[in-house]
Amino acid sequence: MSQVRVSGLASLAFADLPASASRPAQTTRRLTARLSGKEGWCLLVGLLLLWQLVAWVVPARNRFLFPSPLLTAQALWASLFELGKGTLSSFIILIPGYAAAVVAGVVLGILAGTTRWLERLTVPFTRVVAPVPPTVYVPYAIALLPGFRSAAIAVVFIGAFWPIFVNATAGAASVPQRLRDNARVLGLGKAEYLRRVVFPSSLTHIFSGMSVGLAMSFIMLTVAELFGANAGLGRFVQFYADFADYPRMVAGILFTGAVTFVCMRALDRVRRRALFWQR
Amino acid sequence: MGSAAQPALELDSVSFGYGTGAVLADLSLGLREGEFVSLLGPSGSGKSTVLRLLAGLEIPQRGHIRHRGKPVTGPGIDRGVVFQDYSLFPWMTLTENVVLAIGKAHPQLDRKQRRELAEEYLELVGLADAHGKYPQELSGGMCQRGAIARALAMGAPVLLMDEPFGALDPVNRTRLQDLLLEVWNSSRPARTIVFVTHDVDEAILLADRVVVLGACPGRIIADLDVPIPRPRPRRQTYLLPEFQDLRKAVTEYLQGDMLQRLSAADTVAEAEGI
Repeated sequence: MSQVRVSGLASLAFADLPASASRPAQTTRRLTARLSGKEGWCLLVGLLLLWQLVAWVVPARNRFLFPSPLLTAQALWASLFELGKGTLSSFIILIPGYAAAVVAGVVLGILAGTTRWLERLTVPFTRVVAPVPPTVYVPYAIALLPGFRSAAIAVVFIGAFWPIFVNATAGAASVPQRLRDNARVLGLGKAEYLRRVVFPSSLTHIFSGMSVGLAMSFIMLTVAELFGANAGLGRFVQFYADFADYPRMVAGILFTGAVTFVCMRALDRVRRRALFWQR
Repeated sequence: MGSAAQPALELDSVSFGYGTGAVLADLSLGLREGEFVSLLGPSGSGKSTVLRLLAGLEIPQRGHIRHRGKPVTGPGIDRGVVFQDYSLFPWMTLTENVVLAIGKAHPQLDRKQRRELAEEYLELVGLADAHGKYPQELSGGMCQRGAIARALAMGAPVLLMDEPFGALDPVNRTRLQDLLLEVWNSSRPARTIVFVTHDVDEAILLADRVVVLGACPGRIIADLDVPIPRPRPRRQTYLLPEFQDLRKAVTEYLQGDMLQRLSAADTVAEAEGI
C-alpha cells in the first residue's frame, strides 16, 4: 500500500517538471522494469559466455587457476552427490540457528518496540553490539562451545538475530496511530494487542529483517565451515581450495550461490503469502 | 443542558490542547440517554477531538468526562467507535474483525457462538455475502457497514462516530444514513449516539440535536434541537420549513464563525504590518 502511495507521489512530482526533465527518469524506469523479467537471465547467460571466452584467452599454464565453465560444469556434475550431502550438513546448522534467530528476534523486537523501558534497555546493545561484524565471534565460539555444530549454530544465530531484532523493533514501534486507536477502543489486552495487531502490522519490517538475516546466516555458516567443519558447503570449497582443485572449488561456490538463491526465493514466497492484505 | 436528569454522557468544562495551542477551551456538553447528537463544525473546531475525548483516546488537560456518572479515564467497550476509515484490521476477514470485538464484549460466548453472532450483525448491515472477505476486497461503503456491524456487535450503549460517511459517494452515504437510523430506531434501549460530520443536511436529518462548534479554539457556538418528528423521509423532510429554517440557522452560525476568524486574522496581519 505504501509503495503505491510512493509511486503516486513520484508521478505527482514528475508532473510538475517539464517534459524534457522527466524523460530520462522514465527511460530508466522502463529499463529497470524490463530487466526485472527474463532479461536478468539473459545477462547471466552473457556472463557465462564471457567467462568461457576469458578462459580461452588465459594462457595454458594458468588454466588450473581459472577453470572454464565447461570444466566447472563437469566438476559440478561429478561432485553433485557430495554437494548434496554438504547442503544437508549445512542445513542442520543453518535451520536451527536461523529459526531460533527469527523467533527470538521477532519476540524480543516486538516487546522492545512497544515497551518504553525495554527499548531503552536494548538501545546500547543495538548501537554497540549489533554493528560488530559477527564473523569475529567465530573462532571464540568454536573454542568456547562443545563441538563444531553447536558453535556454528550459535554464530548463525548471532548473525541473523540482529537484523531481525532491529527491524522487528522498528516495525513494532511504528504501528500506525489508527490501528493503535482501533485496538484501544476494542479494549484489547496487551498480549492480544501484540499478537493480533502489532505482529501483523510489523510483518513488512520483520520480513525485510528476515531476508537480511538469511543472507547473514549463509555468510556465517560458510565462514564457520571454513574454520572447522568436516562437512558442509563452506567446507567443500575450503577442502578443494586446499588441494588446488579449482574447478571443484568454483563449482562449490556456484552451488552455494544457487542454494542461497533458492532459499531467498522461498522466503520471498512466504513473505508475499503472509502480506497478502497489503496488495 | 437538554434535560434536568443527569446526562448519560457528559463533558464538564473540558480544555484540551497539543503543546501550547488550545484545541478546546472550557467546553461543556451533556447528552441524554438514547439521544442522537450531531457535532458540526469547520475543520480545526476540534469536533473529532471531542469524540476522541469521549472515547477515552485522549485525556483532557482540564475538566471531566463522565459516562453514566462514572469518570472516563480511557477507552472502554461500553463506548463503540466508528472511525472515518480503517476501522477494520486489513489482515482479518470481516467476520474475524467482528468476532474479535465480540470476544472482548462477550467473553462468555464460545468460538462458534461468537462467529454466529458476528454473521448475524453482518447480515443486519447487509453484508451477508461478504463475511469471508478482507477489507481491501470491499468498497468503502461496505467497510463502513462492517465497522458499524462491529460497533453494534459490541453492544455498547454509546456509539461514537467520527465522520463515518465522509469518504463515501452520495448514494452509499444515503444508504448508510438510512441503515444507521433503522438500527438506532430498532434497538431498545436506544443507543446514545455522537455523530461528527461537516455536512449540515446529514447532521439535521439524523439527529435530535445539532451542536455547532466554532474554531480556534474549539467551543460550542450553537446547540439546537431538531423539532422534526421521526421517521423523517428524506424528500419530504428536506422540504419542511422547520428543516430549512434550521439549515439556514446552522449555516449562518458556521459562516459567522468563519467571518469572525477571517477578520481576526486580518487584524493580526495588520498589527504585524503585512
